[in-house]
Amino acid sequence: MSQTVSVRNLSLALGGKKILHELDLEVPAGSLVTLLGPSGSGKSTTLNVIAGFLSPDSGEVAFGGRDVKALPPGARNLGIVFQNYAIFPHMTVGANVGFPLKAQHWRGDHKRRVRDMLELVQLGGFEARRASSLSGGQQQRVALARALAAEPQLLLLDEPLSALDKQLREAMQAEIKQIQRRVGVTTISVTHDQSEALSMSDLVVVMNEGRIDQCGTPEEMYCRPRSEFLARFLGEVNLLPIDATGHIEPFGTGVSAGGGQLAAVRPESFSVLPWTPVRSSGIAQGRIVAVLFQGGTCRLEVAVPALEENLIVRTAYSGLGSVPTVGDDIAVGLTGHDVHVVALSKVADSAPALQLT
Amino acid sequence: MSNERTLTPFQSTFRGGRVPFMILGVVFAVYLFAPMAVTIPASLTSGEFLEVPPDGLSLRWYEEVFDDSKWLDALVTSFQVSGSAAILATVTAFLAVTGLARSRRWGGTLRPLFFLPMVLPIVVLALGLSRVLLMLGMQTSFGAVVLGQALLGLPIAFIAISAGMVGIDPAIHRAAASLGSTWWRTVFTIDLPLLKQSVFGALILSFAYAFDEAVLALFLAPTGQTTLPTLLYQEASFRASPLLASVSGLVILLTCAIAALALVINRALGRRAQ
Repeated sequence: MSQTVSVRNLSLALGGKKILHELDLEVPAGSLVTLLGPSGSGKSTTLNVIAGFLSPDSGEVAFGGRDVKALPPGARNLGIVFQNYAIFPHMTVGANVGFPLKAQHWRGDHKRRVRDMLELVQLGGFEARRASSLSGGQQQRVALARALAAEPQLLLLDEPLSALDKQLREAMQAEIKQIQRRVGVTTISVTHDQSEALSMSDLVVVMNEGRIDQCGTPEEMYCRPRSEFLARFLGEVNLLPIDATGHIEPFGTGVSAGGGQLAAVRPESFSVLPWTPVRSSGIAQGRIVAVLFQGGTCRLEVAVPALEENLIVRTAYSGLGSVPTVGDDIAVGLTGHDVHVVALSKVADSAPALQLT
Repeated sequence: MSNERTLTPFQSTFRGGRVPFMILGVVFAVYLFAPMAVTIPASLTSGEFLEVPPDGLSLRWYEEVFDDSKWLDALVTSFQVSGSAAILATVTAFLAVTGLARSRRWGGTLRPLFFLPMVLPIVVLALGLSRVLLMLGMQTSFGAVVLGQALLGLPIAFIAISAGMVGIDPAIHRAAASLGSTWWRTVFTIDLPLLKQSVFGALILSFAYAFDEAVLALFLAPTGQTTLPTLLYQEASFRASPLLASVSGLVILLTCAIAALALVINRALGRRAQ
């Protein structure tokens, strides 16, 4: 049921503008891979090529080693969840989920399959409801059940959660992940929401200007971004200058890097220390200029005289009365262990082919 | 609800324009209904001439209509011809709209062609069709009238159904295609149910247009038989009898009944679609 998806050397121009540049992508069987990127990065185009709605100018798309380029979307044995659900509004929930079974002449008990799929998405007993009468979150579930009904070899999610409110979105992220794991279907998701990409995926593929910038597990992508663009794109980051002797300004923390590179430090990697007038290695003195209490954590902006931009520091919340106040003088600590060095340049010119398997 | 105190700020911005709008509305209503207000009294005259105010009241001209079978024959013929034409136009327009929606490239290129019959003078079309019949060695027939009327009704039906198609999320078609649906399955299980109100509207509009059309039957109807508007036209050019008004009165009555029925059906279709 689950199959690898491989895309090789994919190029596509639309209206004279090159959208995809020799794209290579290997999606392991049964994994959930997220294509992440700003709008216009080519992520949706890639999904449409894989689905068969667009045919590439050159390159190859294969499911489980079989070239599918000549097949129309309906013959590719896939399920797609669209951004606005694309539920058939005039049909009942049961008819929506049963639609691919009828269309593909699925062998087996259709009624039972529909019931099972609705139970999978926690809509058991909703068969006779009119699809258009459901809430957004419920329509999303119907769309998922419909996409999975005919046992697709590939599930495509096109910005599946962007139309939901924040709380529902987070709940659905966990649920989609869980259902995907239970069904075991290879899944490619497209999103511009970096927290969705980090929390749902086995692998994250960051795209920019029709190329793949970097690809890896969510943790790798967060901790070891390959470029300044990637560091900024996935979560908040402080980018600190490194002097010629390999010391991070103004901490003096030593790293094995030189000019032309930046130290990327995540806000939670700093430690907040009581203010001390003594200058020592690994410590910078500053003043808190903004405090954002976010529940479990506090986000501080700290003005440090030697830096143009304020440091962004995230501290764990440790009980009543522990939220710092604006105007406090503090010291910020940094150890070399928490530093990742990135190139100054915005985007590397050529993204190497990715081998994920 | 119409209490002025409950008006939203947006609604209240229109308050200043209310009086001119009402005057405009009344003027339009008078303009639209004046012909009927003249026709119906004129049909009730007991005199010999078409005149307003009528010369005495009687139903004699209505009796005359029912006494002469040619009027009923023409009415039945009109229904058959215009009904066939409306069905032909609507089916063609429906297939055209669903077909063009599938291809952005062809859709953009071919769409204007469906409006061409609108700019064609009807006399030219009628003459052209009769020439073609002649060339093919065929007699004038109601089939040719149906064809001509369907062609004239096509743009109207096309616009009505296209308007409905705009309301359908294109992702729905892509979803159906990705789920393995053939084109025919998508057309009959998704497009047709979602567009049924527009299709019904297209049917009514193209029928109304065809029912009113007199020129085609004048050129193309078989000798001795004709449709109602053409018969009226022929009678009118012959003499200005109150008979014309009484036939018109009956047609107005019939039209009102059909319009009411159409409204009921359309609401029933809409209710089930929700």
